[in-house]
Amino acid sequence: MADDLQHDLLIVGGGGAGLRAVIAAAEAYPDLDIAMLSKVYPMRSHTVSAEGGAAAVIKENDSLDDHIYDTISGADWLADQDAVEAFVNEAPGEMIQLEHWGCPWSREEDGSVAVRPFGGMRIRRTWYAADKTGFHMLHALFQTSLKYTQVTRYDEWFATRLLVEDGRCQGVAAIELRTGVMRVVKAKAVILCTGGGGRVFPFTTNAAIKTGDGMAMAYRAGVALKDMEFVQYHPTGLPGTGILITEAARGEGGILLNTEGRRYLQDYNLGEPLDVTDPSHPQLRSMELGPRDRLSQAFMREQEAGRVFEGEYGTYTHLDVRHLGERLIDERIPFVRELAKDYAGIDPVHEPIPVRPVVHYMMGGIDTDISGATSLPGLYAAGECACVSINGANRLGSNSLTELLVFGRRAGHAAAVWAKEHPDFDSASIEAQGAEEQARIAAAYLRPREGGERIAAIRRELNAAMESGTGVYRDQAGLEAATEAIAGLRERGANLALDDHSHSFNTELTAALELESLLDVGEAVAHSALARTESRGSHQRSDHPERDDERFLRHSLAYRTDGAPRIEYSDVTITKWPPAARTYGS
Amino acid sequence: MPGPLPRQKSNTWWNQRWAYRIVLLRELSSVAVAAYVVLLLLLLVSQVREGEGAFASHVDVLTSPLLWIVHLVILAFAQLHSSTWFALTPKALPLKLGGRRVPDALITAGAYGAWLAVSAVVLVIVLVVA
Amino acid sequence: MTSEATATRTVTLEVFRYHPERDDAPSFQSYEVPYREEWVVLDALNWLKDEVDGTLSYRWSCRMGVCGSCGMMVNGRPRLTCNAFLREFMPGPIRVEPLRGFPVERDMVTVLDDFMGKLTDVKPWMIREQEQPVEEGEYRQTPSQLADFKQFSMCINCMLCYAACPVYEHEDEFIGPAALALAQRYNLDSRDQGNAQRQELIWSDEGIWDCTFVGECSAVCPKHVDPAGAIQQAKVEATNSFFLSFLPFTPPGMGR
Repeated sequence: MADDLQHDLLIVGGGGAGLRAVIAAAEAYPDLDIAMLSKVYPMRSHTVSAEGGAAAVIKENDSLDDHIYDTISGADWLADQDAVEAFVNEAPGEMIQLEHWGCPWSREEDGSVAVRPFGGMRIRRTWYAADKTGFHMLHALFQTSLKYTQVTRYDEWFATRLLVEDGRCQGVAAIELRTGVMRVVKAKAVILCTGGGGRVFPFTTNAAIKTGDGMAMAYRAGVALKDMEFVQYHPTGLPGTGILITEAARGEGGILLNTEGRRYLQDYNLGEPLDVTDPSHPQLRSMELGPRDRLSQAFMREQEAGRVFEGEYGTYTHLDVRHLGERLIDERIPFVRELAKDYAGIDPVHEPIPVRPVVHYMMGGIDTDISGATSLPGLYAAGECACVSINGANRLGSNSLTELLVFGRRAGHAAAVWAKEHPDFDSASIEAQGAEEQARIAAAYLRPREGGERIAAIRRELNAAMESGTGVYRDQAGLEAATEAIAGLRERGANLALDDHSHSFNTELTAALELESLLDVGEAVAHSALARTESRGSHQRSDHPERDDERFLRHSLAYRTDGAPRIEYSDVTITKWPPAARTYGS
Repeated sequence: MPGPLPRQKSNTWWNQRWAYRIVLLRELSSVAVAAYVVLLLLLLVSQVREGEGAFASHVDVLTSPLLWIVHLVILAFAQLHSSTWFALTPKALPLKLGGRRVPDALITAGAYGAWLAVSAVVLVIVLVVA
Repeated sequence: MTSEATATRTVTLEVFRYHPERDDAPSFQSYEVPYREEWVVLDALNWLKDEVDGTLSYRWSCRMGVCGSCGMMVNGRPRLTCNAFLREFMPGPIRVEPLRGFPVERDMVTVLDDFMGKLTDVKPWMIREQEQPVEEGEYRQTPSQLADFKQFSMCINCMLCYAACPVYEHEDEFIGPAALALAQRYNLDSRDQGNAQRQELIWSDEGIWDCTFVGECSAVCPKHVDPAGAIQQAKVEATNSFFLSFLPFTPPGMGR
C-alpha cells in the first residue's frame, strides 16, 4: 500500500449525480476536502448518452401537483410520495441552477427556456438541449466542477470494495488503472454515484461502463438493493446495436406503426390517435406519449400477433418522423438523424426508423432515504445506482436527468454534514481490508490458471439468462431458470482464466471485476422478480397479471447472503395520492 | 520498467497528408509573394536612380522566358494564398443576418466577387493608363 | 447474427502494441477478424479482446459517438472507432494505432493529463460579475444568441483534433484546438462575462497565436465543432482589440 490518501468526502462515480454532489458539497462547505473517483474520466460517464430532456415545472400552465401526479401514476404508485414531492419541488431550482452554470438549453424566441412534451406527462415540462440533453448537462457540470480547487480527482480508478469499520463506511479500495496498484482511499463519508447495471442484459442502450459496480459494492457490504425487479425497456432502440432513439422523437410528433401501417398503440388502452396533421397531435399522456412500460408491452403483444417486421437483428416496428420535415428534424432531433443514418443506414427524413424495446434503465438500486443516506452509516448514494424511490415501478422519461441533480445535491449536502461530524478513521483496520482486497483480486485473477473460463463466455450466458427470464413479460418457470443459471454462473465465475496478468491498464481485469458486479446485479433482479407475484409497471408477470396492492404495494429489498438473496419488503410512503387505476389516453 | 511511451514528434509530418502539404505550400506562398514585392521594389529603386532609360531594359528582363516562369510560379502561389484566405474568411468572420448565420459558401463567394471587382478596376486603370 | 457468406470473410487488423512493463519499443501485431458489414473497428477490437487476446488494451464506452473514449488512428487518420465501419477500409489491412501526439500508456490507451490540465486552464465555466439568484429564474438567451456558441459547445473531448494537429505534436505548450474552442464557447455565450479573465492565456503565444490554421482539427472533428473556426474568430477579436486600444475612446459595441 503506497502513500496515504485521505479526504473528508469521497464521491465514487463522475456522472451527473456525482458531479452535482461534488459541487453541492464544495459550495456548501468550502473548507471540505473532497475527492471524486471514477473508473472513467467524468465526461465519459453515461449521463452523456441521455438525449431527450429533463423535467421540471417552469411554465405558467404547469403545476407542481401535476408533475407529482404524473410521476406517481407513472410509477404505478410504487414511488414514495414524500420523495416525489421533494423531487418535484426542488426540480425547477436545480434546472435553473444548471442554466446558470451554462447548460445550453434550447430556447423560445423570447429567450426563456423551451419545453417539449414527453411520455406520461400531462403538461409540456421537459427542458431540452436539442437531443443531446445529457451530453450538455454532463459537460456543463464537469466544466463547472473544474473551478473548485479543493476537489481532488482520481480519474480512471476502479473502486472494488467499500471499507467498513466500526459499523460505518470509511472509504474504498480502488485500483489505479494506470499503474494497476490497489490503493485505499479513506473518507469520512462516501457517496456512490456509479449508475445502473443495464449491461447485465444483452440488448441495452447502456454504455459498456454500466455494470452496476456501485450497486454490487453496497450489496456486498450488506446494504439492500431495492425494487431491483423493475427494469425499464425503452420502446425505441435501434435493432442490433440497441442505440437509443430518444422519446423526444415522439414528443415532437413521431408515430409508431406496425406491419399493417397501423398506429397499434390504440389497441392497447393508450387512447385514440389523432391525425399527424391535427394541431393537437401529439396528445399528451396518450398514444405515442404513453409511458415506456406500456409502450414496450404493446410491442411484445404485437410481436405475438405477428404484426412486427422481421429483420436480421430481431423484430421491429416503425418509428415514423417523416411528417415533421427536414427543418424540424434538424432543429429538434438532429442526433436522431445522425444515429439513424450511421447505425441503421436510413435517413429519417425519408424513411421510417426501425425500433424495438431495449433495456434502458433500472428503477431499482441501493436503498436510500430522501437525503441519499443508506442503511450503512457514512454511505450515501444518488442517481441511477440509488433507489429513493421516485421512479417506483416505471420511470417517466426525462425524470432521471432531473433526479441526478436533485438527489445528487441532497446526497452531497447530507454526506458533507456527516463528514464534518465524524472526524476519526480507523486507519489500521481499513488499510488491512485494502490489503485483503488486493490479495483477493491477485489470487482470483492475476495468476495463470489451467482450463479456466473466458470472461466473455460467462457474460454471454448471464446476458442470455437475463433476457429469457427477466424480459418485458416474466413467469415463474422462466425466473426460476434464470436464478438457477445465475447461481451456476457465479460458481463458474470463480474459475476465470485471464490472458492478462500484468498491472498497467489491465482492462481484462476490470472486465472480470465488472462481471462480478453484473452477477450480483443479475441475481438481485431475478430473485426480486421471482418473489413479486403481481404485475406492476415494468414488472409484468404473465402468471400473475394483476396489480396486487394488498400484498405488494411495498418495496422489495434484496439482501446478499452466501446463497440466494434474502428478499424483504418495506412500506411505500403515501401522502396525498392514494393508489388508483393507471389510465392513459382519455 | 520502461513506463509510458513518450510523445512522438515526427519531422516528416508535413509529407504525410495532402492537407499538410498544401498548408506548407500556403505558408511558403507568402515567401513567394514577398520575394516578388522585393523584386519590384528593386526595379523601382534602380529606375529612380538610373532614370527613364532603365524602364525598357527592365521590361526586357521581366518578359524574359525565365521570368515568365517565375511569374507563373508566383502567380500560382498568390492564387493559393488568396483562395486559402477566402476559405478562411467565413470561419474567422461569421456573419449573421436577421438572426441567422449566413452560409459559409456565400461569404467565400462574396470574397471572390470582391476580388474579381478589384481586379476589374485594376485592369481598367491599366488599360486606360496604357 | 449474420449470414454465412459474410461470416466467413475476414479482414486483417494490424494493431499497435506497447506494454509499459516490458516493451522498450512499440510493435504491430496482426490479427484476422471476421468481416461483418455492420461492424465498426471497435466491434472488431471487442471481438479480439473477448475471443482471442484479452491483453489488448483500449478505451471505449457508449459506442454511439458521444462519450469520446474510443478515438484511435485508423489507417493513419484520427477516428472514433465506434463510428469507423470496417467496410470503409476493405479489403484491408486496417492499421489501428493510438491517437498521435500523446504519450502512450499501453496499446491504444493514451495519456490525457496534458489536455485535462489545459482544459482547466482556459476556465471553461460560467464567469459572472454578479450571479443572478436562482429564484429570479433563468438568464434570458434568444435562439440567435444560443446559435452564436452552440456549435463550439458540441465538443466531446475525444482528442481527434489534437491528433490531427501538427502544431500540438511539436509545441508542448500549445493549448490546442478543443480547449481553445471551449474557451471561445464560453466567451461567445451571452450569459458569460469572463472574456477578460480568459484573455491573457487565450491570446498568448501558447494560445491562438500558436495555431497556423492547418485546419485538420475541423476536418477530423466527428461532431462538426470546427475548432479551427473558433480559433480564427478569436484571432480576429484579438487583432481588433489590439488596434482599437490605440483609439482614445471605446467604439460602440466594443465594450467587452
